[in-house]
Amino acid sequence: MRSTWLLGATVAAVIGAGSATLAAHHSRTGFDPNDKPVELKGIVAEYRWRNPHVLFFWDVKDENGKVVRWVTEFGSVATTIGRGLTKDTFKPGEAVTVVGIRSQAGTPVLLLQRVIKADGTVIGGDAE
Amino acid sequence: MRTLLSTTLTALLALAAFAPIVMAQASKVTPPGWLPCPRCQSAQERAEARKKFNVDSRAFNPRDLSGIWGNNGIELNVVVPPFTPEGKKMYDATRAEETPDGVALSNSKDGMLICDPLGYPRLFAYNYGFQFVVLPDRVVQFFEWGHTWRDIWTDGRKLPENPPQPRWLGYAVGRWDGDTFIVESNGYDDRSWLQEDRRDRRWGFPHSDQLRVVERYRRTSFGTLEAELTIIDPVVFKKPWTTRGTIQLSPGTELWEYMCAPSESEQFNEQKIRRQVGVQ
Repeated sequence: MRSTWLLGATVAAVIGAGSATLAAHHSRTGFDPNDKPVELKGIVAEYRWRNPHVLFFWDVKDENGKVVRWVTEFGSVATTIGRGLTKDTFKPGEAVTVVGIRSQAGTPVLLLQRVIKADGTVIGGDAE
Repeated sequence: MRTLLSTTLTALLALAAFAPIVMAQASKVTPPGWLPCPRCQSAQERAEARKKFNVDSRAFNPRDLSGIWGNNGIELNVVVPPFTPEGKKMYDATRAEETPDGVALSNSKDGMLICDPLGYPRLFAYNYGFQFVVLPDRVVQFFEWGHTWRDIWTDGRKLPENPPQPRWLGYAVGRWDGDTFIVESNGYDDRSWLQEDRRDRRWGFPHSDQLRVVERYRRTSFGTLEAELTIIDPVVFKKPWTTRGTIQLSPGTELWEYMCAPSESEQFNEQKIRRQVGVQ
């Protein structure tokens, strides 16, 4: 499986070491990091390349066939560039699988662990 | 023929092995002739730049602080001095609102979430890198976060005893003591926080309009700046609060624009932060 993620444990460790500081706006309130991650397949609706944090919206069909728009976030634009992403990393309409932790409130928000593109490319998130 | 095949195969394997890294490098968005922002560099690129610019052994003038420094700020010392009774009241008032279920609504009292200026010394504790520009009468400190600056006057003026207007970034004067640049400041607007309380993000550290800050900077190599910051606010804290740290030069970068746009922040708060705790 390919990864755009400046690959590897070393880089991940470096990023992890600074994550508390980097995540000024990034609130994990409302998530239990011990919850089991879920995988949600869907279609990218919007990749909003803006501060304070890049937002990622994708549409997922629920068990009744109803389309629900989910949201998750990356870091600020500068931080996200530093992690190898660009404003063109995702396009609306592309298929993705998003892995993360559900909000305890049951709202369609994930604490992002990673996004897997259709070609298998893995894009890591702050909670990875 | 066999050699050619072997060479080609090796080259293809090498290309395949490095493909993800090539993708990561190619994903950099910096146009030709422009430089990345300090926070835009990966850890690897940061290390490579410091090596390329030979920052550890390059000759330097210890009384020239010019350059772009850091990408993150120095968090305040975790050993927080005891609050005065008034300080404790002010601290308690920073506590975030909660949902009916008792879940904190992020750090809802943090002015940063609505793009109030971070103020100083919060910009010392949290930033995206800053640039010192040395002029004959002042040192200008430019910050990427908020796309703002403060003037540290070195023309001999004294701090105002009765500042005409409280400032988010205060009034600052600087002087040299040997190779140490000392910055003293006052006249702060008391609406800013010193820092979010990272022990528990439901609170922030407040200050009063009596806040005074003393900073000491010493360039110990071309690429290294030792920094010490002391917060003196007898209204809030029973003792001064000192933080020390090291700031690394960010060679090969330039400050970009991080504007905190209220409309963007409000969208973010509404569509992500409030939604994740079930407040729509």
